[in-house]
Amino acid sequence: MASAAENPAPMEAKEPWVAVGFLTLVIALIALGTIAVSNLRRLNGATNRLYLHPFQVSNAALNIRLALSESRLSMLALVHHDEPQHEAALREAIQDLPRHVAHSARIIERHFLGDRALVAQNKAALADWTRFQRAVLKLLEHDPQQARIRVLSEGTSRYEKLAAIQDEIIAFARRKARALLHEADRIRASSEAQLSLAFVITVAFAVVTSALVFFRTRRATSALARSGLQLAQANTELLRSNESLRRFAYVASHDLREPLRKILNFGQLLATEKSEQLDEEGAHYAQRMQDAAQRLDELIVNLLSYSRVGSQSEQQVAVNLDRLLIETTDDLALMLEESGAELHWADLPDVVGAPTQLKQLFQNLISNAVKFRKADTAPKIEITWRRDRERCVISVSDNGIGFEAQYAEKIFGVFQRLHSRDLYPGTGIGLAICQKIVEIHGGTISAHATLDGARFEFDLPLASEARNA
Amino acid sequence: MPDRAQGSTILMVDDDEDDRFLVKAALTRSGVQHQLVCVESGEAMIDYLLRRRRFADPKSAPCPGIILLDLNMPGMDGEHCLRELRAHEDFKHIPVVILTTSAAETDVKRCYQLGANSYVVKPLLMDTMVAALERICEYWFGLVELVPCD
Repeated sequence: MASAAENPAPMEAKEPWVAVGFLTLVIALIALGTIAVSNLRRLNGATNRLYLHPFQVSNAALNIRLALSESRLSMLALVHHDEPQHEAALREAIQDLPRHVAHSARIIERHFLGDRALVAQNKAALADWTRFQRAVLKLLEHDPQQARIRVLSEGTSRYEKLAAIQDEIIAFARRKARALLHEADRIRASSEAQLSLAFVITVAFAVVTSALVFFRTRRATSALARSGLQLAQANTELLRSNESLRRFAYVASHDLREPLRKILNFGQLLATEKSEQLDEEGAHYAQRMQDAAQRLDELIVNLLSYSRVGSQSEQQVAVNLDRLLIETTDDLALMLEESGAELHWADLPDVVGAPTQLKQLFQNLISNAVKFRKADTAPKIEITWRRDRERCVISVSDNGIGFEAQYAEKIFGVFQRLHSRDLYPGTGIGLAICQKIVEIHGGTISAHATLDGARFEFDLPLASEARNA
Repeated sequence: MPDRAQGSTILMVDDDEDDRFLVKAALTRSGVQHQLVCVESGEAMIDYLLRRRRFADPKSAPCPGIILLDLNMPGMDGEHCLRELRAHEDFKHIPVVILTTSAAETDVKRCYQLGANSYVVKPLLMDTMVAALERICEYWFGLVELVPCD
């Protein structure tokens, strides 16, 4: 009643989805982690640009604007000769302007994100302003009036142009900062969303996978428990059927043979006590009845011995087959002598088995070989063996009447006979018993028709010393 | 052997009428001169030995030299009978020959343990049954000494 589907195979073979689930989880986590990290990097870059570059650029522009304004005021003061006591300082302030704005100009050049033309324009205007200042300072040496006029006329427009460029740069930098702030907000929001998603997916995967593992394990465990129960039931069933077989053996030996014994006895009484009342035909019938009843008894006895093979738990021990064969041939000495049989065997190995059963196995095979001998030929029996991994394959061949190849399997059936009872007596249980004994020892037996007789081959487990030899 | 006449009776305890008949027939066919008395149950055997109920008349229940006891009987079975016999002061000396269909090793062992004197499996054929009875009687009534009846 246990279907194959219910038998739990080993977990790892049966549950590939567990591995697939974990693999998917890991891949998903790596992907989400990568996205989140790249977002954080982007956020970091944006933050740099947001807080450093536009800020620096706007600062630099403001700086230039202040320096410019200061330099212009210094120039105005100088040309109007308002503060003659500071003349040297004012000159120096004016001459130092390029040095003051150089750093800021570099920052703008490097980090300004807007129109590069504006940067170029700024650079050119700064250079122009510097040149203009130098020209004014030179002019001041010999024509202060002319210098004053140039500062007032050309200076203001130059200064305003340069200041306007700085204002433009500052405005752009501020706009840019606002945009970047917006972008950073967006990236942060999306990173947060991705991280939250990663977290939710991880938790969901963990929950689902754990739940699946839990339920599948529970199912597997309960299936295992179920099959364990079924095994126990089957075992009980087997013990029960073994017991009923033993019971059958007992019943067969008692109750079946009881009436049979009476048939035989009363038949005999009929044939002897009442012989004068029976005519020849009647006596013949009585005799045939007796014969049949005796045969039935023989069948019951053989069936019993067949069913008993292996039912008594005989210890499996190391058995020296040479010694076992000597004992067997001793038991069969009379039969072998009367038939003039020749029995040869090679040095046989030690095997593991039940000695009584193995003895019966050889006894049955040897007496079969003697029984089914050719009418005018003395039986010749040869026992050889070869090794097949942990087992030894023993072959018993004879020069007897053999059998037709088509009966090679049928020959092992219970009560299976290939010849008439008149020619060869017996019930046909011998080879069935042999097969049962070999099967109890985990082997198989086969019959082969040979050119001059029959060969039986069976395998037995080698004893450990023989295995290592 | 007139002095042993009473002790030469064979008491057969068997519930099977056919078997009782066949043993009687076999005994008739043999040269054995001993009287065979049959009872059909363990309870009847006790009545017989104690000479009560239908065996109240001593003539109907001669003292048995040996008892042929079947094992498989309804009510008091062979083992039970054996226990009763061996426990009873007056009957524990009477040789008991188990005559049964069972050849089971466990039955054989238990019967000897309970004090049976021999164990014979009912022979399959009339001839062998006759031979078996002849040998049993030859042994118990010819060869060995029995305790005389009172």
